[in-house]
Amino acid sequence: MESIYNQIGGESAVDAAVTIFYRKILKDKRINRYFNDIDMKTQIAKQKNFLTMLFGGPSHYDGKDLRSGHQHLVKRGLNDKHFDAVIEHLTTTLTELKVPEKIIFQIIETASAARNDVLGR
Amino acid sequence: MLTVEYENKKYLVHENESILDSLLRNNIMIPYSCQVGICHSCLMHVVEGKIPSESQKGLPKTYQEEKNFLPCICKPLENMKIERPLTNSKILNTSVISIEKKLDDILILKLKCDESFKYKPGQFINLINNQNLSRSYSLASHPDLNSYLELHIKRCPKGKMSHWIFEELKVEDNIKISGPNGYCFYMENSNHKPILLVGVGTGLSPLVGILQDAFTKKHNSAIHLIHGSLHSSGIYLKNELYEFEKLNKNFKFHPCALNVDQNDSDIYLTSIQTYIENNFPVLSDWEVFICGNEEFVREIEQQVFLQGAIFENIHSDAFIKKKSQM
Repeated sequence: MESIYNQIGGESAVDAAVTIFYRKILKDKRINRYFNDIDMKTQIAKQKNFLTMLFGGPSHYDGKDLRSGHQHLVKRGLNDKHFDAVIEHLTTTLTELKVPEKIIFQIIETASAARNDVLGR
Repeated sequence: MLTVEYENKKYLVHENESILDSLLRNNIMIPYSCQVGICHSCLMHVVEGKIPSESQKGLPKTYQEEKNFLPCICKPLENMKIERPLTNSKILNTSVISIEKKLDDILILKLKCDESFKYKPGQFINLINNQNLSRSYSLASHPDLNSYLELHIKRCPKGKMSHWIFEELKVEDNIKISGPNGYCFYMENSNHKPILLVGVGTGLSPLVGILQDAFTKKHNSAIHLIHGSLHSSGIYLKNELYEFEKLNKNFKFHPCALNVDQNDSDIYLTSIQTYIENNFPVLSDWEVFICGNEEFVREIEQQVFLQGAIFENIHSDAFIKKKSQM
């Protein structure tokens, strides 16, 4: 079975998704302050890595990285509402890119499974 | 078998091994993280050897042009010699040809370098004074148009270097430099795209260099330069840039200030953010260059990105304050 990453178009799909996804996040007052602490170039690289991992592409992210990577944000008040907002934007991004619903569902499932790691539970 | 040379030692690169693999196998600790070409932590510079195109994937075009690459995704095609990026560290001697005070707190410094010095307008150099203090300043001059190096210096309230330049440096003095460094420069393959140059304070200096470069390379689309200042008196090249506008129909100058003197009717009373929003609402096909203090650059980077500018077409040069001055 071909990976989702290859099915949706590999690296160019990630590039297209990052642009749309990151714009939505920056425009959202509920969460944009959690993405403002590092410069855009670094942030976009992180988002590319994150999406690549979500789509099942070549990535070295794991649960431990998500946990430690978000620790300082949890200290600043990161909670379920923020996590939900990001999932929301991920969903609309994939919909805009016309990714088949079944695949969107799988991707969102993978993302949702990271909730406890991201929120340090 | 192929070799990679790093810091004067050669290491074998096995078949199907990346340069990063080889270095790590030899216990050479270079920064790295994702190992798949995304995080750019392992970024290195090529001194010798053909660069496999795969190993530059994802890097901004300006980085590629400067021969930077990612060792984690590099399987060499021939022997290579590499070094850490931004190591134009050879120190050269220069002498001061002129010091022109434009404002109480801004002066234009022109230096003549003893040796021929190659650079791309918009890059920066480090000035090293006789107390071994080193600070970075952007180049406003053009290597083909000017025989001197031009820097715009702002006097910072607690700035050791700027104080030294304002109080002690004299014409005919010698001062050491190193460089050039930086990725904020004009690229010829964008000569059909409209360009937006945005700078605040002496962030104008690299933009002036880039502007001249675009014209010498026959840029054939519009170029807009927005210079912002707290007060209209801070638009220190107003006359020069309006003159440039008269000579080049592709160029438009937009000076903006938050406070405008009565007799500065040719300066717009507005913030840069509002001006960009109203006058350049959609930036999808534009190349954007942003220079100034860190906070300003981050804010405008985000704003133009949200207004449609593609990430790869946003080039910024943030003037970062030394920690002791913060």
